[in-house]
Amino acid sequence: MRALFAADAVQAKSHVHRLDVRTKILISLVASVAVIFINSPLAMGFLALASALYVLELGRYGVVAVCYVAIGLMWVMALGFMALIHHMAPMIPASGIGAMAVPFLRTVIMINTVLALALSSRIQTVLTALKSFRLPIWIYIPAAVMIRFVPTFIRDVQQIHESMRIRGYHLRPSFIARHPVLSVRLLVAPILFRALRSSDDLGIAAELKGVSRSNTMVSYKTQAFSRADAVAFIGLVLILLTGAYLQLRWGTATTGFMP
Amino acid sequence: MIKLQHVTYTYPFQETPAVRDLSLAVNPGEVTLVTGASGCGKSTLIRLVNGLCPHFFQGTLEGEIRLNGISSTGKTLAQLSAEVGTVFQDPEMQFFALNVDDEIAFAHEWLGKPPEEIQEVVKQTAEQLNITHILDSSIHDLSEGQKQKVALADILSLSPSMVVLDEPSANLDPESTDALAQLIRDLKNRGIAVLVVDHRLYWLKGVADHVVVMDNGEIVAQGEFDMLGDAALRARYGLRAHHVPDTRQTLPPLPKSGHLEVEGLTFGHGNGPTLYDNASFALPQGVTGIIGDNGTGKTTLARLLTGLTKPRSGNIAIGGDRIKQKKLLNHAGIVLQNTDHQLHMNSVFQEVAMASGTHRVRNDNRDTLIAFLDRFGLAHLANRHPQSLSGGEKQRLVIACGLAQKPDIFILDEPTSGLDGHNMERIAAMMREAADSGTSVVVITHDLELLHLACDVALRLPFSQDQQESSPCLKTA
Repeated sequence: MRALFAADAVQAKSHVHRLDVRTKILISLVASVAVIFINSPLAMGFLALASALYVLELGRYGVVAVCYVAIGLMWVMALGFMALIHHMAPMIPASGIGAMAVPFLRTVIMINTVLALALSSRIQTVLTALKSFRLPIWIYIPAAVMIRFVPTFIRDVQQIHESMRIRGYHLRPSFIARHPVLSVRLLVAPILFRALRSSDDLGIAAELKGVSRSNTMVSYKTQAFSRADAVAFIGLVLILLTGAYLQLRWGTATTGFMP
Repeated sequence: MIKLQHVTYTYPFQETPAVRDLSLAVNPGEVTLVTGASGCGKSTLIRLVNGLCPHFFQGTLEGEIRLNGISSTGKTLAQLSAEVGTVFQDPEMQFFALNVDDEIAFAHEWLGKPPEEIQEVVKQTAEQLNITHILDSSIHDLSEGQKQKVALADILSLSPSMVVLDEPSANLDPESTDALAQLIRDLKNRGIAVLVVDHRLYWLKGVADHVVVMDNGEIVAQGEFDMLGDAALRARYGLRAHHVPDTRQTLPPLPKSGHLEVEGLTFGHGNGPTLYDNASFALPQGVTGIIGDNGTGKTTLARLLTGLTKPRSGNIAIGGDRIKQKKLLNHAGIVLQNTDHQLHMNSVFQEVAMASGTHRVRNDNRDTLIAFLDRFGLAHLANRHPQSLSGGEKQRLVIACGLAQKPDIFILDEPTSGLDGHNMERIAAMMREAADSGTSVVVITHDLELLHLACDVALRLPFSQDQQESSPCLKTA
């Protein structure tokens, strides 16, 4: 979420920045479908590498590194718990590193593509792109409200965190461990009430702007695809074909614990 | 034309009506001001006119509301919104898009207008309200006055014949308030019926043609603006002053030395321009008002004084002792603008108990805490959930929590925004009481009434050469 918020201030112009936001949404959608059908570690590793190059092209190495550390931590924890379960109940087979890699590679691919979209696009442009897809009102409106709500939510969380500091509460791990219920209350109670108010306000705003007036809308800002988008599209197809070839030629269907 | 005839409205699951037997009319080219204490039914009146009641909030409506001579009963909310434009107290919460031009275009896009026509409407409306230079800006980067203008541009671009303004001056500095008054005069001249609901009254002198006072859901007085000169009427219904002296230039400057001393304060946002350059000043015990236009860095200064924001350089001393930036919050309290963010507990009693560091309540400290709440007029609400309180009660509670921490310096950021006369006077009295007990109270405010009632000295922003001469301790490089 913070990444989305920060994207509004992005000034850098990498190749990914130059892509039309619709292309980046398409890449994210295609990646999310591809990880369902491709399930061999080799093909998955290839897609993870390609998507990593895509997001690293932005030059936001710090943000990407934080995400990878978080994913790596989850992976190690999952391996640890699987080993523990196997130790306690030997009839449950131990899971190898390779098998456990597949679900995490799926996560890595999704995070790479979504991060590239979030870090290189302004929220308003994403909204406009959603409009231009001419999606049904029941898809567009909830999606637009969710995206619109992100900066409001982040600002609320920042202000609540600040008000806790003012009261002398510091949500450090030691504080959370000693006062788990109080920690949840301090953070969640104001967030809940603010979220309820914000959603009510946004609902009223949408109604008063006549959102329910019709089922069709016209986007007054037009977006145009460029040569960079064509190159990205060709690249996307080639990567998918290569991934599919790797899966068919050398792939061993190893799905880990995911279907 | 807005016309209400014997309107009574009851919210869902409520037994008593929020408003009773309301009858009023706002003619084209006329401005009607509705005022009254918090909870008197003003917000419900706005919702009745723009159709949110009963279309959005449901509930039971009796009587008739006619807009331009046609009953609003059979109309949809979308149809009503095309006729009546509404600007809320916090305009940002009614913005649906994130950029100014997209925001103005939003409703037109839903009307299915051709893109060229929308572009023309956006351009013309922006020129009309003089906001062309901010069309590409994010709504989060606007000043309060600019947000107010964008919200007005939103509704005026749809050419409504009726406009409703809810507490439009609550977040504006006096100059922006004057500009808003001029804008409302322009709306009058264009034949638009304008309904203004506000606690602050003085700025509508010469603008409002008619004044309606509400109390407990009913209209209790109406007449011309001069009616508000009756002090007994204002006291009876908790109204604010109809005439307010502007003490911003007459309040004494800061003294040469004080309880809190700042030396060589330098700060700028990120890599942006320097906001304060080697500024030095002292804040006395008593009440200091920080005044300045929107965007001059008043809240930033408060954040620096409490250690919430780190300066590029500078030292702060309290009572002669230099305090490290990280330790400032141990000595300072601050009440931020949005009270919702600052209330965490299950009851008013728990909230103030936690703030005072009382984690285990016994009989003896329970009595002490109840007595403390009583000072703020909150003892009878001790068992209520903090989020269920009214705006004025929440504000008093967060101030009580701040003072329960016994800070050396206590800063309040716009504490009376959107509050009625009674609550504003109570908060002024609280500030004076805290100052009399030895705390340096600092208030950031655009509220001329609060400045007049509570402040001893003024810190004027931006720091200027004039101020340096009048107060030798306040100087910039």
